Amino acid sequence: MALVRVISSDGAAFLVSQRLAKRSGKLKTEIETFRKSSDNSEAQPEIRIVTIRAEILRLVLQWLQQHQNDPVLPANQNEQDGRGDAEMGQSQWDRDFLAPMDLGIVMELILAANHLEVKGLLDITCKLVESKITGRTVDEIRTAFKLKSDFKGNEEEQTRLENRWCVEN
Amino acid sequence: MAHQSFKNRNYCLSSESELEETIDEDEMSLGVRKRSSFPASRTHDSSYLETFSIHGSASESSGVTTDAHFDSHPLLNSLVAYNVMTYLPRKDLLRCRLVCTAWDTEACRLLRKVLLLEFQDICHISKFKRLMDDNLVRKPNREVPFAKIYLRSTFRLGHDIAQDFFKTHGHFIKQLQIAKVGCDCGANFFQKLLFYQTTNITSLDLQIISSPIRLSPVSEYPKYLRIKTPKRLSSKWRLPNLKQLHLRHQLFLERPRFIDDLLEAVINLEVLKTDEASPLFCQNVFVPRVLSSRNRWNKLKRLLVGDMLYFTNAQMIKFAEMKFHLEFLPLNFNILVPSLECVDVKNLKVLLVSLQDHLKKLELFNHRPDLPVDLRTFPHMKKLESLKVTNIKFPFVSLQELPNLKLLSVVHEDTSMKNSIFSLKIPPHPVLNSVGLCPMVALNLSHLRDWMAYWDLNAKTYVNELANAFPSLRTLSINGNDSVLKNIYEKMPMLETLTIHGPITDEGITGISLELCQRMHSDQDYGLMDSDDLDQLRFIGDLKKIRKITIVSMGNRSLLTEVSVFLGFVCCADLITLDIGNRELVELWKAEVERLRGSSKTS
Repeated sequence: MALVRVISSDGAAFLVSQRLAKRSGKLKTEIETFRKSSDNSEAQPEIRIVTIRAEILRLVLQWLQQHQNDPVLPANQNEQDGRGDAEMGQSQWDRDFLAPMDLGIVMELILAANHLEVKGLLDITCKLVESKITGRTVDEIRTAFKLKSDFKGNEEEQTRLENRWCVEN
Repeated sequence: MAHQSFKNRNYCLSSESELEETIDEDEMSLGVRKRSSFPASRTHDSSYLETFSIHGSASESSGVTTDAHFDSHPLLNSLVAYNVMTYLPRKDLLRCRLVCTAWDTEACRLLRKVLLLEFQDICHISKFKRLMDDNLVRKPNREVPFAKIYLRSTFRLGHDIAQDFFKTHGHFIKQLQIAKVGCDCGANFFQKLLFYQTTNITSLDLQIISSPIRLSPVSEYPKYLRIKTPKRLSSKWRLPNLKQLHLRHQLFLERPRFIDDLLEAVINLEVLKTDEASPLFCQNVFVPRVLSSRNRWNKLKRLLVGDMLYFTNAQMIKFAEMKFHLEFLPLNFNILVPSLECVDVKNLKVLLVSLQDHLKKLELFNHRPDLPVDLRTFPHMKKLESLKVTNIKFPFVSLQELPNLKLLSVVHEDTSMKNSIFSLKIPPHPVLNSVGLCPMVALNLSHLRDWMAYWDLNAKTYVNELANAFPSLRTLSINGNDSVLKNIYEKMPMLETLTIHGPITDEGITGISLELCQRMHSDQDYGLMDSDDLDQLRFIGDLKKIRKITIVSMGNRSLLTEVSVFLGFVCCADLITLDIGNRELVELWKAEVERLRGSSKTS
């Protein structure tokens, strides 16, 4: 079983089978570059992911493991296709997987899935956050995401005006 | 912070047994239930992740880290926001603009793709211009969501206000659709508009013009013609950003010079498309126009007339010489129009070879099943993901040359079924063994229509070979009978979509012998079978992930009864679409599923 060592930003190392790691677009390219650059084909590749901390990386790997037999979704699908897949991919396992997480973790997972190019995980996490946005008022969104309005002067009013124009049509 | 406690520690794997143990522990600690439908054997032998014995659940440690990560990361905000917003409908996107400036920027980026502004008349555009003036002119760098503009038939392009708008704000426009424009404006103006004011335009849709741009009075025509001469084609006259061009096909016939000029100007074209037109148009007008263009579009990815393309033999050769980088080629040939010549396989191959490095999607459609087209071998195409061939002898051995193929459809419309049934001749079997492991996800093999006699004898080996050759198969469409179906339950438990053409009976769906099924049907008693015995049988519910089932009987009449519904389809938990050619049964299935759901909720 060929392994690869994936190291998180805070130094925790995960030993993962290459077959599993290759389900992430990013890790796949990294492993291939490593193979090309190293003379010893037996050497164990080591990949450092500087943007993802151990806890998040572990969740990503766990998700990959659960979905290791799913077909890989092409990352460059156009948007309409992408939306369809999100509906498709949501299984009971995924729901249980995401249930205990708070918004901050989910956000980090989105970033990680985006960085590691794991389309399926990106889909389900984005869907989750999306459900917190659809149908809410601006103030509700701000509270939910702990954001403050940083518009200057009448900028917000201007945007409202522009929006009204879009809706009228 | 919680995550720092395991800093600089390595988690390594020491033995197989320990590995499984730690994984189990881990899953328990997270409170994650293993999906019951997930075959246990797969989880164990197909290997695997590492050992990680990090303790503590996700929710515990997250509480500590959230705030710090959230606010201190502006990148996190906008990147996450963009990713999430791709899933939002337009209405919510507009609302997101109001949350904060970072979100506004991201929402605008997306809105530019999805928002189409419709202008009905001058009044609209003058209002819109005022809005733009208030905002944009003062802050030219601000992102705005307005990039796509659709001018309705009531819109008069020649009006001063409209001209003024396009002169001052034309550079905002990325995509322009025009319907029935130009009742009062000449081609000269139209050209100026395109060439000077809207140089950022990436997509131009003139497909829906129903009365073409009226040319200026004849006296001005020579002026317009002069633009065509090479001397006059300075870089100014180019549309370097235009990537998509959709044209109504009559424009080619009615305004050939306009089209010529347009095709000259679009140097970086990626998509050239006209609406539905005849194959003759394709052969005599469209393809020659493309081939004679001085632009050697090396970014061209799609070239379409309607949703097809037709070449003569000579054109195929010439097209191959042009070395386009097409990604999608929907080629039709042997079309039933008397004056069109038949395809020469040799030329077809030359064409395919010229595109072998770029094609991602290929469709070959032979319109005359009586004229056999045999490809024998297939060129190596490393990027090809989707291949559909109709009425063509497909060399299965060539699947080796297509390492990235995910979708294959081989269809024969030929009804030679009769012959083979009467002669009982079994056709040679495609050599699937030689294919090796394919990443194939979807497979449509309706060419096996005439193998009726073959199924009974060889169903097992046939399905076995398919399952071995395409381990990642999720969508399958084949012909078969009950015994093929039963083998599918065993060999392909991961299927999500199944279409099967053939005489499928209750026995195939439920696994219960046909005789007993018929008794259940006539007695309306579905408990005739012992439940322990039922558990032993392979049936449709073994496909744990199945979402869509289509069953087409060879005749038009469905052979299934409600027995299949009660003892078969209702057991497929994820099934969404059922099409078995019998509406009453489908309604029954829906009602039954609703009923079961209701009762499980109350209990």
